[in-house]
Parts: sequence; structure tokens; C-alpha cells
Amino acid sequence: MVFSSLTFLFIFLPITLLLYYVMPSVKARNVVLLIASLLFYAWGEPIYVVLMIISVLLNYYIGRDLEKTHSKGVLAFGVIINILVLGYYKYSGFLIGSFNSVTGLNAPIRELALPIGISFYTFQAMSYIIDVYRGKSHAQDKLLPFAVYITMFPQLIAGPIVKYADIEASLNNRKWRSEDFAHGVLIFIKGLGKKVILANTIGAIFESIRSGGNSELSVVTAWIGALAYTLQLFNDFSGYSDMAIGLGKMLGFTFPKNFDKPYRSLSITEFWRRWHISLGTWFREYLYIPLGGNRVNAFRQILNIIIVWTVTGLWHGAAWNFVIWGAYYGVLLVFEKFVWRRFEDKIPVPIRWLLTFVIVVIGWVIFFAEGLDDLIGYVSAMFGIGHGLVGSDSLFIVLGSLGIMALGFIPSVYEWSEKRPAWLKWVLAILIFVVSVAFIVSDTYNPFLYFRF
Amino acid sequence: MKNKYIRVITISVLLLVLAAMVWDVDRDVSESENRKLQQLPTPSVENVLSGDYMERFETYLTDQFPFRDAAMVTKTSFIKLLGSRQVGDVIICSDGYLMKAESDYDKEHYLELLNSVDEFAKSQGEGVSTSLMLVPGASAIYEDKLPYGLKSKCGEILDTARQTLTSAYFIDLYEPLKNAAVAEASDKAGAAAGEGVFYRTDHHWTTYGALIGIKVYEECFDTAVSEESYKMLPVTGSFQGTLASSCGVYSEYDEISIGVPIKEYEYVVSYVNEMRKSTSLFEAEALDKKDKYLVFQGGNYARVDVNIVNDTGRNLVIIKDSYANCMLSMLMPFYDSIIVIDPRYFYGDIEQIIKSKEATEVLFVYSVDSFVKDTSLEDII
Repeated sequence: MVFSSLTFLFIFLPITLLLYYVMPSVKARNVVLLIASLLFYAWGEPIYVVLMIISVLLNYYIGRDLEKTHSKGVLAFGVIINILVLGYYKYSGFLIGSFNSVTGLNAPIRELALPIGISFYTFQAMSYIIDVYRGKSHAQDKLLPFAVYITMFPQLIAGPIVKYADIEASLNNRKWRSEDFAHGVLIFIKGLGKKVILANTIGAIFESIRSGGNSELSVVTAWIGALAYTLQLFNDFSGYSDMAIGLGKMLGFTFPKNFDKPYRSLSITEFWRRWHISLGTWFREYLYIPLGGNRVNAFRQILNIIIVWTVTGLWHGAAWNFVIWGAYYGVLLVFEKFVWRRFEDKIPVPIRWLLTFVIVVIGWVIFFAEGLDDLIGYVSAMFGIGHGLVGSDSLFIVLGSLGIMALGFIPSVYEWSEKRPAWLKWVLAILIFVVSVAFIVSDTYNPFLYFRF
Repeated sequence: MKNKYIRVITISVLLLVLAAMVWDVDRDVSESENRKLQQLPTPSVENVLSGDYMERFETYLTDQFPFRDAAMVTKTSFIKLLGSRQVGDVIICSDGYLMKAESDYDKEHYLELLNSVDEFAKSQGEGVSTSLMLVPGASAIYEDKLPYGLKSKCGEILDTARQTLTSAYFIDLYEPLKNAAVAEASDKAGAAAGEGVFYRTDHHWTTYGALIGIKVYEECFDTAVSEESYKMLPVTGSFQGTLASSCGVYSEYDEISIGVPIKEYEYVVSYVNEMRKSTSLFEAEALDKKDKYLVFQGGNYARVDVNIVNDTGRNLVIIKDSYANCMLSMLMPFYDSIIVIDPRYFYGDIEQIIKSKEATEVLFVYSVDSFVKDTSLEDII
């Protein structure tokens, strides 16, 4: 189930909230939350819900064992099992395909549908067993709170990746304050608006520019397309995180912030502290630091950064462009760390912002490109190699997209739920909610032009 | 608003919408969207496991949402406010015109289709002529009304047809319709320009536009068609077509006229599959409904035979989409019988009909937009 559906908004959510708050104890509320979360997941993945339950049980028992033994072997077993499950569903096709193209062999590829959210909940489970091994957290001795941690519907599908230590206390004991609930509603509506109004509309612009292919792209159109994707991705992803955080607050949980105005960053290092924060933190804590982090010689440090970023790229999807995208950031971060930092301060702020932003936008082109030819074709068009400054064909798309694109770049569009008088926040929230529902409903408004049956 | 009550208010509001959704009686058909709506699906082991049930359920909720039309209007207003002139498939043009966005088409598929028509023409015996009438869309004829920066690609599609067809005649309507549009623009107050060639709120051409099509077609047979020999009878002034309802812009009304020859003809219409006969090509009841365009035969049928008391020695087979519906009444003076085939519903043998009805002419009538995307025509020719 997705948050931006009528099934969720008007059936699942009110009934879950009602049952949840009717219950008298934390334990009973956890039971409601677990059942609701399993139903939520099964609605989208009626078969793979079994896989998730197995993953919950497995990690629960591994955690219990690690608490007693702190055995390296058990930890290794747990981590490897989690990675194997993820690898089997997410990367087997990619690995076999790459193997085939390198060796020229023709090993059969089984097309597996990727279970929704598997990258997120597997990472949460790994953070749990590693933290228990390190003694940073105690293993959960009851299955119910642990199952709630892994399956909790707000963050199950697209994060934020909540580390066990951050939420441990509230699993068994949490407060329900009305201010938190109210704040949660506002954040949820903000996320809903970002996803349904901005991301979907801007996404349609991106699609229509992409559907024309690279051969006709003019400079202006190519940039509008790349900027559209830049905005779409931010609103889509951070909108989903906002909805998750808002729902968490409505249920009494505080999830970590996942996005913090990333497109205002003045350096790539800063960008990655502001974009998908929970993933960056995860990789820092569970991969970069174990590899030695900053406390090794420069050569090892460079190697570590490149490894971490290549893996980060791969986490985003099983395709070579994600690997290249990750490595692109790895190289840039190494450059920033060892070279750029020395004279960064002498460069005026607007130029630093612009450089960072352009690098990020080009990063997204790598992200959406379908193969190397496509990537080269698109980037060439952006820099005027081959085609004119303004294309006649796409002028209409470009003109029609200016309004919504401008809206997407106005900072206060994203800040209305903070620092405003309460009455104004609620008026805006109601308006945005109504318009969002209108967008969801009319999405399928698709008249047949000729006939009725 | 006190935060204290926010929890109760939030849950109550959401539950109220749910109650409205349950309370609201499910509809079978959406009149404004002109289509069947999803009904409450029944769960089964298979459709739940495949996820099909869940998809249908969400479609059911959106299809049956009580404030659906209002939602569309809200969305369109928002998009217009931001300066975009395209809502889904519909372009909001000047002078109150709505036009369907020209879709990308597959050039190879289109060429293949043209060649099939040509092959079909070649395979007909002596005495049967085949023609293809492709009606350019409003976006080509009223190109000047399109928003800034948008151009029609229709010219290139028509050029391909002109160059490809050798055995079938190509009925080229681009210039005649364009001239009519120019005359209409320069002669706004004049009596002659009573109607445009396309509706403002619907994708069809008007009866007046269709008469121009007939004129051009009959000229190929050296038959002069004069406008004076027809009566254009306005039957409704409150038509809002599918373009209006698919984008929720309801600011304009169109007038539908029916065209009939001044000289009266006796005729019988047989809806062959429906086994129904009628003495009229028009369905007056449709005028009380939302989709008033159904006044022309009440819709589309696999096969309609029109037998006219006449002595012309000409029999016509029309293979068509809905663009031909308003033409039929105006074709009567020239034929003894007209057989109308809609390939989207027809599964019979066309050759056999041509032979048994002693057809002298086969005419394909399609809007450019539906022809380039057609998938049913090739199956029957």
C-alpha cells in the first residue's frame, strides 16, 4: 500500500489510528501496530510478506544469541544471511547479466520481482544485530516490540532507516502528546503534497521531455529535463520520508530527519550530510568506520571512500549506472577532502553553491540515464554539443513547466509547516490536503473518447 | 485550533470521508467520462495473491469517489493557475477551444496500416473504388489557436498517406477544412459561417465539417454537392463533449446540428447485430443525456445497414470510426444503400459483404489520431 492512495488515507489510516488509540496499554497498541503493518505490507506484497516475517524471526533469534555470546561467528552468519537475501532478490539478475557480458557465457537469469522495502528493512535488521554484538544495544527479549521495529508501516517501504538504538526506548514505553500528533499531521500533509502535487506533476514534465529521445534535445530543454528530475526526485523521496516521520509522530515515535534542505549545500560533503541522512549515517557507522574510517593512511582512506560510495550507489539499484553514480560521488568527495578544502573558503558562496548544485544535477542525469550512450547523449545536449540553445518542438513543454518548476524552487513552499502562526499552518494544511486528494482521485480520470463498452 | 482535539478531529474527518464513500451509491457508468466504472471487486485466492484484487480495489475507490468531478475541476484549476495549458491529454487553446494533444505515433505501424489499405484497394475487382479519408484533428486545422510554442504534426502524417497510397484514393481534407476555418475567422458576423468545423468541447468534427468531407469525396465521382441542398438543424445548444469532461473545463457549450437533405428520402436503418430496425438515423433521447453526441445513431455498432429508396446505382461500404456517424444522413442522396462497419466491434467477412451488397465504393473514414493508433482495422481487411 502506498501513502498516496485512497485506500490508505481513508480506510487504513483512520481505522488503524482509531483502534490504536482505543487500546489501553503500550502492549495492546503494539499488537494493533504489528497487525496493521503486516496488513499494510501484504496489501502490496501478498507473497513476500512471508519473507519479511522470516527475516523478523531470524534476526530476532540471532539478536538473542548475540546478547549472550557476542560471538563473531554468529554476527558474521547474521550479516551474511541478510546480505544474501538482499543479494538474491535485488542483485542476482544484475550479477549474472554482468557475468554473462564479461565472459560471453549465457547463464540463465531468473527475473525476480524485488520485494518492496527489502533494502530498507534488511538494513534496519543489520543495524540491530551489529549494535547488539557491539554491546551498544540490548537484544530485545520480547518478539512483539522487535517485530514492530522491523515492520512498522510508516518507515517500512522507503525509510528513513531507523537504527535500533534510536528507537529502542520508545518500543516499550512511549508518550503520546497531542502536540506531537498535531505536528505529525502537518508533516504528513507536507509530505503528501510534495509527493502528489509537486513530484508527480514535475515527473510528468520529465517524462515528456525524455520521451522525445536525445536526438532532438536543445540545451534549454535538456536542462529543464534535468532540473525537473532533480526536483521530482527530491519531492518524491523526501515527501515519502516526511509522510513516514509524520505518521511516526502520530503514533508516538520520533524518527530521525532524513532530508535537510540538500539543494542549499555549498559542497558535496555537505550535500551528503543533508540528503538521505539515514542512509549516509548507516554506511558511515556500519561500513566506513569498520573499514578504518579516517584513522588510516591517506591511500587507505581514499580506497575506503571509493568502496563505501560504490556500495552506496549499488544500494540504489542493481545497474551499472548506479555504480558509476556512486563512484562519481566517491571521487568528488576524495577530491573535496584532499584538494578542494584548502582553498574552498576563498571562493564566494554563490559560486560554491552553483558548482555544488550543477554537480548534483549531473549526478541525477547519471542516475536516470539508461546506459552509457544515453548518458553521453544527454550530457552533451546539456552543454550544447550537437543541438541548438532552444528547440522549437519542446517550447510548449518548457513554457508550461515554468510555473510548477518555479514553485518547486521556492524555499517557503517547503517551510510552511514551521515558523508560521498556527492558524495559517492549518489553513495551508487543509488546502494542500484537499488539492492532494483531488490529484489522487483525478489521476485515473481517463475518459474513453469513443465508446462506452 | 487546540492541539488537544486534533487527534479526535483528524480521525473523525478521515472516517467521515470513508462514511461518504460507503454511503455514496456506486455508479455503473460515468456520464461525464463516458466510460464504465470499476465495481467493487470480489476477492479470490488468485487475485489476492497476484495483487490484482488490491489494484482493482484502489481503482474502485477512485472511480466511485463521491467528489470525483469536483476533484478534476480542482486539479485543472491548479494546473492552469501555474501557467500550464495542458491537462492530461487535453490542450486548453484560445477562443474557448479544447483540443486533444496529438499523441506520438509509431511510424512503422502507420505505414503498415496504409499499405494494408492499399493492398485491400488493389484486391478489389473492377467497379469497386476504394478511398481513404483521414480527417485532420482540430489541432491541425485550428493551429493558430494552439498555445504558443506548440505545433501540429498532422501535416507530416497526411504527407505520408499522400505519398504511400497508389491503388486507394486519398481524400485530402487538409486544405478544404483549413479554408473553411479561414473563412469562418474572416467572416465572423456573416451568415455563411454558422458553425466551426470542430467542436470546442469535443474531439469530433461538426456536421458542417463533415459536409465539407462529403463534398470533397463526391467530387472524385464528379458529383457536385451544394450546401443549399441541405438543412442544418440545430438540435441542442448545451453540448459539452468528452474533452470538456476529461479535463474538467466546463466554460463553453457547443451546438450540435444534424444535416439532412432538403429533398426527403425514405430509408430504413438496420442495426444488424442488435437485430433492430429504425426509420431514423437519429436518437432524440440522447439529447436529454450528458453525452449528447449519441444523437447520431446512439453510438457505434459493428454493422449498420441503411437502405434508401433511391435509384443511383451506387452502393457504399464505409469502414470507420465515430467521425462518420454524423455523415450518414447527408450521404443519402447519392446511394441506394450504405453499409457502415466499425472494425472495433466487427468480426465478420468484409469481402463477402462487398460482393453480396454489390458495393461500388469502399470508403475508410478515420480521424488521423485514431487511425495512426488503430489496432482493429488490419484484422478485417
